[in-house]
Amino acid sequence: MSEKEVLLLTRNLTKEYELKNNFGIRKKQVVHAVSDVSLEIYKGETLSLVGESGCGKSTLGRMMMRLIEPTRGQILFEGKDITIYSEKQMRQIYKKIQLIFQDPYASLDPRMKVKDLIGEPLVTHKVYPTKEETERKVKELMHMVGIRPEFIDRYPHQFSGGQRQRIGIARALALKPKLIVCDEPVSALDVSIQSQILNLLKDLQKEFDLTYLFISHDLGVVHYISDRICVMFLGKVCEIGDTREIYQNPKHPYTRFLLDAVPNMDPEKKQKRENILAGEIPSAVNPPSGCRFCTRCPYAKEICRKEEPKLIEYEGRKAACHFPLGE
Amino acid sequence: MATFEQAASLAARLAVDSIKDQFSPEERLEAIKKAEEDELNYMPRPDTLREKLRSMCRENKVAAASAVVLAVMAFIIVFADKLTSYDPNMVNLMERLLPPSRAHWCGTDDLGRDIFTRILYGGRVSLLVGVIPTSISMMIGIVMGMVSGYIRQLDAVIMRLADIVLAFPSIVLAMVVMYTLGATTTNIFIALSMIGWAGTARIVRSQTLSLREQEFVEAARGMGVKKWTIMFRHILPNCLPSLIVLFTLNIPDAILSEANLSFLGVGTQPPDSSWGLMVSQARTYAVSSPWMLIFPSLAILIMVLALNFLGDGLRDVIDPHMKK
Amino acid sequence: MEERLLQIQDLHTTFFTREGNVHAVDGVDMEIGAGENVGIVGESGCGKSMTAMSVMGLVKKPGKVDGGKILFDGMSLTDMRPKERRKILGNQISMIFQEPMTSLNPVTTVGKQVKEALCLHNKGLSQKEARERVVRVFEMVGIPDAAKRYGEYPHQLSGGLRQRVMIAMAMVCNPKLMIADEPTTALDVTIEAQILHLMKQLQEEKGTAVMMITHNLGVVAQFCTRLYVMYAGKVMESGTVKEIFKNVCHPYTDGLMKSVPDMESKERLYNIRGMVPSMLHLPKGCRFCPRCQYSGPKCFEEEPKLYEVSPGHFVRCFLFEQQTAQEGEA
Repeated sequence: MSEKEVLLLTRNLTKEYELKNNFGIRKKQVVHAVSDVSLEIYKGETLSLVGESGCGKSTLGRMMMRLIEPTRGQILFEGKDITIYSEKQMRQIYKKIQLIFQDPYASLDPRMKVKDLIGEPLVTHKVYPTKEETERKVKELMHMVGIRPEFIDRYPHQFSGGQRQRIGIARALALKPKLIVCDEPVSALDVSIQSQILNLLKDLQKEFDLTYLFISHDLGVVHYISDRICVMFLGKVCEIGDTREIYQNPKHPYTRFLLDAVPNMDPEKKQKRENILAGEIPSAVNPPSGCRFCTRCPYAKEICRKEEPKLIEYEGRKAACHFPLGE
Repeated sequence: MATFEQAASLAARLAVDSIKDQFSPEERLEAIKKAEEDELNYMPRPDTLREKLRSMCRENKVAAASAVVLAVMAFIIVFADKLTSYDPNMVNLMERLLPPSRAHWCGTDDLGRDIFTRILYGGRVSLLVGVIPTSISMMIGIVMGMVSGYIRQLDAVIMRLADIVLAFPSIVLAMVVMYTLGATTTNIFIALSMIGWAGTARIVRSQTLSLREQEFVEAARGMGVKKWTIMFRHILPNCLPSLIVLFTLNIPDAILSEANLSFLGVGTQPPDSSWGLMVSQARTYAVSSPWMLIFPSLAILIMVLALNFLGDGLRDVIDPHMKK
Repeated sequence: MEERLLQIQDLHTTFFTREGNVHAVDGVDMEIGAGENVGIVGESGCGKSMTAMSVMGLVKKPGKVDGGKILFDGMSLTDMRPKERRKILGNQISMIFQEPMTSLNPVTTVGKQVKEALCLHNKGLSQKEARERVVRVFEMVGIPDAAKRYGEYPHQLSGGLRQRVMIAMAMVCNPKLMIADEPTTALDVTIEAQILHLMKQLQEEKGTAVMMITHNLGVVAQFCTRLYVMYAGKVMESGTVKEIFKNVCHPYTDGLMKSVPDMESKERLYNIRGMVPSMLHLPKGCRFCPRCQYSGPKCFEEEPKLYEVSPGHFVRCFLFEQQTAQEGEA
């Protein structure tokens, strides 16, 4: 693990939004979407960002591509700080980082044919000099993700959800990127289609030596696809490390509750009442001081409300908790 | 699925059961392929634009009829001199204010001119005034709207400019232009273009604002597509349906604005005619000789209706969803 | 099964579209006993929601219930006049929708909305009594500060609280049957667990029967006692949850279960090949045959019936035709 090459690294990455302050009548409010996230993505691995809605996982993913500008912090891609890059320089980076969206309906321009959709990155970066060559490449990509190349002249609405997601994947692959940010790529799909797409992503990763940043709230999917996971809560990293270690032996109470909340497929093993996390997700506008999880945490003590826990190294992972489980 | 012990997996149980009439794997694949092929052949084929237009004509009869009406109108307006023997501007005081008859299909006006002939010739001005300034003003409006919606730094400047234009009574603004530049047809185009863009800009801006948040625009940004390319490749085509409707609504507006200008004496100059001018001139005689008012109004009405229906039909053609 | 509360017999719901007739629900038989917890599972477009809508009488044009019977508590809902039917809906049968934001009116306080539902079926209730009862129901569904929340608007509540309000609205008249259409799909996992627990608890306390429509097999395993698996408008397999999860018979159900990634093994996921067929153009024979890995020539020609593999466990698949026949002989 230690010898792996770092592809992307973030240092204290933070995103804060200011809410409009109603002509100064109310106090200025700041949404802490992502706070001080430092993590690294190694070449060839799949790192998953897990968490509930509003935990900042999508914001973090987009920030790494600078589709959302970070408020503070650095992003180092292949060792270079891309936070200071100009728009023109970023365009070159976009050849190497691509994005796959959750909603295959919204992420494809409804007025473009498949040919133009998959061809768009190729045309934008002028990869091929002629139309014919671009089209040949598009057909090759379509074949690769399992869509019949005959459908090249169709519009997205003529495809089913799973096929549209395949189009999205083909488009992301067109420029032979190094890193693909997958933002909930299977959560809008049916179970039988979901497993097809997951297997496709795995096969492509092997074939093209891709690195994935996989954003999802589905813990089953995350377990299947990822090498390492990063559990987030209210814009902060709770626990990050090896998938198997974390699933078998979570250190952070939040991770434990998340895992227990997944409905078990065995009707004999009923969920226990005491394993259900009570309370609502606090708002990111005024997050609790100290540990952000302290308002929901049944183990919270005085220190949790006052002092923010740091990420501490345990076997195979880091966790941010004053009272880690099993220690 | 290995979270719990199944009594025996389905595959294992089925292998034990002796099942007759089974496929070999190859045969099954063959059968599945055939069924899939069947499904594919059923799936709707992509339509070409021509096929779409044809299906519009088949399904939307009103739109098809409107297209025919507009074509006929354009035809008779262009070939006006071949279709009527009268001179549109010839005064004949002997035959003033005659009701419709075989000689004068739509009657004559207060100076004895044949109204039918004047409608045909006036149509030339009205049609041009309807189409050209509307096109120009919409082009300006589209660019202004997209820029202010997409490039947020310019938003305030452009929108305040639009507010100024919208705050003035448009006719006053047009009059100022006409007075300064002089009353010619070209200047009518300029005047009407200058007042018309603000409304379009507002509509395009609001659409751009919602479109720029759409994921496919974000996807394009994530691919490294340039701003202007995104605007013209992704945002503009998705505004088109409402723009087409807007276009058909703006044309009658322009025709009526021209009429107003003419009425105030800064538009089309007599003895030339335009539909708007004819309507406004007929006001004095509305009760005594209603045909002077009715027939030019009818011409405007037919054209406006036909344009609206056609616009609706075309919007459905352009919209790829074509929800039926 | 003690008493039969809801019986659906050979229900057909068809959408008459320009491209052709879509048989969204195509001959479905279903039974729900009093106080029972029944899951309906299937992928999008399999007709599971349409079945529920047909029971509620909410099928919108161009759709229509055009065959079959729905019996509720011995009364035929399909033959009832709309006025009488409305008395039952919301009162004895209530529904919870997937999206709690869009099913609540954004300009009225949540308390008023629940009160409205209550007063509609209890005309004699005074305003004060009604309010008190609503607050009690709010407390019952675990809304903190129930009295304060009564006067709040839907947008002031979080997704989990909104879903609790929806459940309160469904429970306020003490219905005999609650239809829940994907009640937790829009919620986060920890909130989902809370809501499912709440529903189960209420169900046990009040003896309400629940028809749970979901695509999540885990939810069914945890929550339901009996299960119907639907595919392309037909019931493919039905039986008790314990029986089906232990002894799955239909290749579709089997494939569905194997397609869900679990949290223990990282083995390559099983894929059901292909995709759900267009409802306008269903394959000949068994609807699942082009995707099935066990299909035989017969499957492409004839439609299978439901065969009973063990008491109460029905499967619509030819693989089990001979088995049941043999057992019948023996």
